[in-house]
Amino acid sequence: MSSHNNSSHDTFEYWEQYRKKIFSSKGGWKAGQDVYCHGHSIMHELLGNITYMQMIILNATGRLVKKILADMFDALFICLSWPDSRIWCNQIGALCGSNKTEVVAATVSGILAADSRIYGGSQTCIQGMQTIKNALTSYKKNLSIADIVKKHPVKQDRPMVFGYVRPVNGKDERIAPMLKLQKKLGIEIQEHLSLATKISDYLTEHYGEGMNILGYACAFSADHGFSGEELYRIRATSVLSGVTACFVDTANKTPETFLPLRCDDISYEGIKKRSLT
Amino acid sequence: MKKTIKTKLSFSKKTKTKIWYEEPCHNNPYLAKKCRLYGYELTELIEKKSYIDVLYLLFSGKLPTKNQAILLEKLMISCMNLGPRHPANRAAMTAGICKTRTVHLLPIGLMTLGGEHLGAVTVEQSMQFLNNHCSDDPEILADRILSKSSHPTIKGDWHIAPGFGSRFSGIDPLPNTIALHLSNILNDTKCAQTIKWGNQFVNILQSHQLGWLMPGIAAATFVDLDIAPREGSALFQLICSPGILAHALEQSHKPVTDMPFVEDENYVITQ
Repeated sequence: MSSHNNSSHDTFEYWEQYRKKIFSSKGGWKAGQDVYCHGHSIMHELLGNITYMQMIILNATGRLVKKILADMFDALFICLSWPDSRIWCNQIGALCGSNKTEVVAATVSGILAADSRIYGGSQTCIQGMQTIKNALTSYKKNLSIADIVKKHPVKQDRPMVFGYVRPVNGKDERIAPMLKLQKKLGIEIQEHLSLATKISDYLTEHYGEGMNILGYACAFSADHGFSGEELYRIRATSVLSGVTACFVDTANKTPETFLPLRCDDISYEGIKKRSLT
Repeated sequence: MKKTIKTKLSFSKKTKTKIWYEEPCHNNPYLAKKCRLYGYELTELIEKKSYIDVLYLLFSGKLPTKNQAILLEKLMISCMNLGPRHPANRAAMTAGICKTRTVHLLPIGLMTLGGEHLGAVTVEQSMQFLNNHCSDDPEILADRILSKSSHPTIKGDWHIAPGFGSRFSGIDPLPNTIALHLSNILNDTKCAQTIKWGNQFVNILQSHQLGWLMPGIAAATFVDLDIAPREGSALFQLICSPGILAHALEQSHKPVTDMPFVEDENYVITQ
């Protein structure tokens, strides 16, 4: 028998302290006076002095970062704000527009769709951050870049390294401008991003696959002390603007003119016609 | 040797499905004159089968046996309304009272229901747990898990396995009662084997104030119905939807003042 017994369990008294009461470690509203966020006065300290991205990071992580760091995150959001309705989350926004939903439903649907294991700026942060942190640990133990890459599974002849594979196109056009911006803002490349670049060079040479924007975002964020969970929270809504754009595009057009499908555009691969007995 | 550079994944030219076939009209290929669900004509299903039968067919590809249909229907009644204190219903009710667009009410509730705590994610985890262990002796397994676990140091509920644990520091009577009902209804058949296994499992847990949780009931039923874990997780959202909607719609007809708003003295900012 186990060593557990009833006396080790809570009673419902534990829940009573929370009944009809909110304890917030984030902040709150003092009606008619001010609003507080992690000890900062929003009305008298933050408003007018910080950017919206600084506020997003503060609310998501509790850290009030410098403006130049927030500007990098701002740019990362822009990198996921494509008005191209072929991208899955944007396509959902476009379908909503074509179906005449409201913009909020469309945008939220797109954000949810980007919370994916394979693309988008949110859920993939967890794996992407773990990948670069594990890689750095291995690298510091003198593993070669080739050995680090070998640790990852291979699909369709390509190593599936989070942050280095794109479903559609190998080269990510966003990396060079982000590095250029980082340089312009005077933010040094530190150990995670330095290693990420080496992995990118190796993969480009051997597989034609460089670092993608996720890999950059994770390495950059790791260099600045963010965890994967924190990055996930900061970037939870990062695709919203592109989704809205694609919604607006189709909302203004004739319903169902966005990629209409004929019956034979769907390939039926199931059981042949049968009757109920 | 340098590998062949492959920069694009291979995308299909068409979307594929085994579920639904649409026979196009001769004069307009965008319109379907007949539809078949896993090979059965929709019109024949409408004529001869119940909603439960067709729902099961839709998610499993097979028509249910009589007992499977009974079990699914009973589970759907069990989960139809999780009650006004369940977080998913509360989220939708809050949206209702604050006059959110009616069409957003159900999605809001379902997103809340998608959580890992007593939500649809737990159903999938619980189904995996049950699939892995339902051939084990439930009493030996329960004892083994308890002996390897310790009550979490952080106060709150203890979930000893997905779908099993305490609720508000005690045994939630409702799911435990439902589990007994489901197993008794089909007592003389093999249709509710996993639920019966779970009843034996919780017999050992009870002395530790642990029992069935609602996602566990749904999970065990879906395992008994031969439904896959991912499908089970999503079906849980579907079958919990009526209660979410009903409670939210009820609140939507009321003034915003009909729900408590926590007063300043009960809003404590901690640093």
